[in-house]
Amino acid sequence: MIFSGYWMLWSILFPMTAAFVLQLMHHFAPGRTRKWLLFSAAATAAATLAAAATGCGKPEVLHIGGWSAALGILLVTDRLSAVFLLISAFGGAAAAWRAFCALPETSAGKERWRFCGLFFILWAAINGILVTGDLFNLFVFFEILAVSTYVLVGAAMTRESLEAGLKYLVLGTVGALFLLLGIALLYMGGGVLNFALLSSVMDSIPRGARAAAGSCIVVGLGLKMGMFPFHFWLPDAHSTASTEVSMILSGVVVKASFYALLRVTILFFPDVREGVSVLNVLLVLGVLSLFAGHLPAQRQADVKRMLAWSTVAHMGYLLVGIGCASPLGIAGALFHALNHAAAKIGLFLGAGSFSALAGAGEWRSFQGLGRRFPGESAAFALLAGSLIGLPPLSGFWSKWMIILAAMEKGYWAAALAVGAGTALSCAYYVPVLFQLFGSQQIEESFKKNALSGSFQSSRLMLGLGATTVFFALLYLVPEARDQFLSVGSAALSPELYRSAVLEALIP
Amino acid sequence: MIIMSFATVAILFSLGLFTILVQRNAFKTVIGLTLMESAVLLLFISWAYIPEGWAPILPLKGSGVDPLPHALTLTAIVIGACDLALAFAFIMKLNGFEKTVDVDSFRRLKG
Amino acid sequence: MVQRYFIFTADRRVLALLAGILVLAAAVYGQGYFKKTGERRFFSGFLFLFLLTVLGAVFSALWLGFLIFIELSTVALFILIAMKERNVAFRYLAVQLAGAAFLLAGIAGAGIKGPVLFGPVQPPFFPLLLAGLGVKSALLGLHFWLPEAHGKSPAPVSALLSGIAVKTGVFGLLLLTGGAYVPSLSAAGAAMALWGAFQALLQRDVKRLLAYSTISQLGYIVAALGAGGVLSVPAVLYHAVTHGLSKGMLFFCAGILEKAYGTKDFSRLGGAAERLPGTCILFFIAAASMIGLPGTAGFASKALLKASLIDFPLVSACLLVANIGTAMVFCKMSAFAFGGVQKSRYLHSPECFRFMNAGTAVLAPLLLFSGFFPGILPAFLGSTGHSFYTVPKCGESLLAAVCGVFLFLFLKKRLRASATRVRDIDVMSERFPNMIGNGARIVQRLQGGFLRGYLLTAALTALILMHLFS
Repeated sequence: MIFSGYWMLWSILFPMTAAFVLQLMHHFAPGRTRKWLLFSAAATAAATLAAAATGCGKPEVLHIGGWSAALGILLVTDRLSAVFLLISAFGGAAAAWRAFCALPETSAGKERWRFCGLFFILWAAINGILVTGDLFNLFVFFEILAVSTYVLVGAAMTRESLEAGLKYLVLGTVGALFLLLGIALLYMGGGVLNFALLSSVMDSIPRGARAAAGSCIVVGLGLKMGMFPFHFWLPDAHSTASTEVSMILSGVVVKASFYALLRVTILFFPDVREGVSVLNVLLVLGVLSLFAGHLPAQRQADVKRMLAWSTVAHMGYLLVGIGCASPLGIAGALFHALNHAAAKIGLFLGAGSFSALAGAGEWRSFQGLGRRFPGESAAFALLAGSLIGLPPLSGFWSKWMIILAAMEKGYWAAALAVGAGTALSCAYYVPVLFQLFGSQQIEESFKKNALSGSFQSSRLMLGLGATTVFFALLYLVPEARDQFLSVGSAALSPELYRSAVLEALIP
Repeated sequence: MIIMSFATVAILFSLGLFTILVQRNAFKTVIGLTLMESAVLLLFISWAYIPEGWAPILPLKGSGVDPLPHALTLTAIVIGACDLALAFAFIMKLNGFEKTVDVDSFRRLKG
Repeated sequence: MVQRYFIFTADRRVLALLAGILVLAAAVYGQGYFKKTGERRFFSGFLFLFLLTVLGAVFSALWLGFLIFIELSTVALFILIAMKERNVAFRYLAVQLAGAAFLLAGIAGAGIKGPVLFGPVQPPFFPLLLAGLGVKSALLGLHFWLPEAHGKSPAPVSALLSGIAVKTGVFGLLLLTGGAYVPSLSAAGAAMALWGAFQALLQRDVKRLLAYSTISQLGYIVAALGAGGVLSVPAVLYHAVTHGLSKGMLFFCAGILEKAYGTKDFSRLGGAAERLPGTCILFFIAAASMIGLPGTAGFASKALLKASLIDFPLVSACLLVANIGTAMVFCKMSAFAFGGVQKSRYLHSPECFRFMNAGTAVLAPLLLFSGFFPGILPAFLGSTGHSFYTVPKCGESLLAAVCGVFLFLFLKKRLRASATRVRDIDVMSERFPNMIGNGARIVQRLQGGFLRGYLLTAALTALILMHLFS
């Protein structure tokens, strides 16, 4: 592949430049803004996919500026990053489609272009987190991600979204603080900030410093990810943001934070023989997140808030998967990340469109919409079924892998919790589906707001609905399953990463 | 490491933590965040100190101190300033709606 | 590929035959039960899907395949129930998925080395699979969902539920134990048989009575299953088939009564024998089979059950008492629903019930055929050399029936429709959602909206983690 090292760099640089060019373009050539937006979205998605492709064989290492690992910043893509870059490419593209294709020409729309720039900066930050090889760089990209998401959440300019944005900001800054503290402690112990180099000197760091650093980093990254008990900002932020922002937040941003947590934990805090290891704690917190997410979701009237609580629960599944510390567990978590990203993006898209059609955000107002839009509602039902975990949809297979991994290690309570999640999540998705596919009588209180319009971005919805079937078929192919398992086992060994990075020559 | 720096870091961090946990004014919460951030950065910078070291720009006398923490700190200060500005913008917008800056009264989103 | 994932042995083919006949009967019945053409088409479509999933479950060679098809059949039944009764369908789905969680964990545990064959499983994971299958086949204590689900669904769906859905769970249990002797299952089965018959006597509602009767008959099956031995497999399957056919017919009759009189309450039914003669005859055939009168398939299957339980006198005695109870139950149903004086207004003319009667009648021939030639089914399953129509066996069953009739006539006043209720665990069916709702409310309190509270939680957790890791 030509310029194989540089696609990673372009997947970060291109969206950033696109954002800045957007401001200039709006000033000088306002009519072409929309085309530029669509073009840059497509180009960024392509660059991200190319970056994912470069990592599919040996890990791809790029030394920026020609500096070696000890002095400069490296960008590294291996197969683990490739999976998440795939999520970033498709998730970002879906959110961009929804945001830009449906950009109305009203006065609100004229203001909206300002936030499109932030969308691209967010995408650049996500890609940065996924390809970086350096702790300093990770922190910087996390901050860029954080600031852009704070603004995007508040961009809806309603009272609720401003409040959610403020709470997200305060909690997010505390998290960034802990992350910075953890990085500082690691530097103070190890003397280097490069992932590979630091990972090789971890053993020389005293145990107390390692413990403090580990807990700070778990707190910091867990907060960004929506892990219990740091998840309090997530339902507020993801529900009050506008649809496309919710899509990319729940679909991609939390997965990027999960990737960072996975990478840092495996490289720096591998399993210990005595005492509590980070992965054990992640397993326990994962089970708690599961219940903390599924239970409140059952009492939600607003469909987007319900979906946000569901995100908290599914992050719990991912944590249970990696907490098992086995190739199967990580493979299950990766597959579940893919499934959940596709499903949650589709569900938020559907929720946004149904809310616009019904005139209200409560799912009780969706009555009868399924009869009017059978295709899109069927896609919605398929995606909900996938998240519930009904066979033979893809969500069932990823849950099965996680349960298999948990039972393999003997964590039967975690396995039962993951299984119980199916019953708990059907308890809140099924009433929504009943409302959608019910009869046409709309409750009087909602009638006056009901619009007769069309479903926005219906092709995207149908496409996302098809992904769940596609992923299910993918699982049934044994080669694909083995691919996931090999990614899992490769991800689990820090030596592979270290050797690949440290032996890469500077071109 | 210098004991005084350690002590300052500890005092600043606990002050900041106390502020965000106890104060109800949103502005004071943000100030608390800044205090905590300053504490962490001070810890980092203090670690970088090498005795008889000089600023790591052009070491005129002897060698320079470790430059990497300084770079990270500068970045973090910039990010902190950005966060601060954003926080103030949020608080002012919220004040426009809610007519208060009491953090405990921002409770529209619960459950 | 088919060979790897599906097995077509004789015992599975018997169950598949049961499923096929029941679905066919339900399809015919549904043409009369549902008024609108759209509803009829929807019903037939999902009925066919249900049949496919049940066949997939029954013929599956792996536990995982069994689980997948069982969950799919649950979803199909959920959609069928939801046509008329949404809350009931929702609760049924939730309970079945919760049971499936145990099954998943058990299969995962047993299947670490590789996919687990649909058969006996190592001891550590046996309880998990037992719990999961217990929910599906309504073992004692886990049967709380059955009265509501079978009692309130539309009649053809109840027939499928009682007829084949619980039988797939029982089949899973059968393959799980693999013919071993499990004393706890035998005891549970005997208790279920007694409890089910007892509760059925006290019901006001026709379909709930039939639902409890299902629990009772499942008790018979589970008792024989637990007894183990060579005869357990043919006995279990024979009784499963017989019960499926006869309970299917009974639920169909109950549906006809419901459509005719607009009520399921015994205090308002009565006098159906004159108005619905065809239904009455079919009802008597089915009831006779349930009681176990000679000449019907029920007699043969009960004889085989008793033969398999010969070494367990206590269990056999319990089953005999339950048999008397069953006789009383069906006397109650025939007296209060078909006999007596008509109390409610008759809603439709008999021609409307053509399809419904036809559907019920589809099941009758096999019952009678099995009754007159009882040896055919066991021979198909590989168990020969039984003599069914011996004097002791006929005498025993007639004795039980006559005792039941006399007791019923003796207690008829007490068993009137307005009898007292004895509380059963089925109140959990309503309590569970409340419990989960309360749990949800507690977790929701954490999200109080207080920013400082969130910050305190984060700080405290950081402290705890630091302590944990060092």
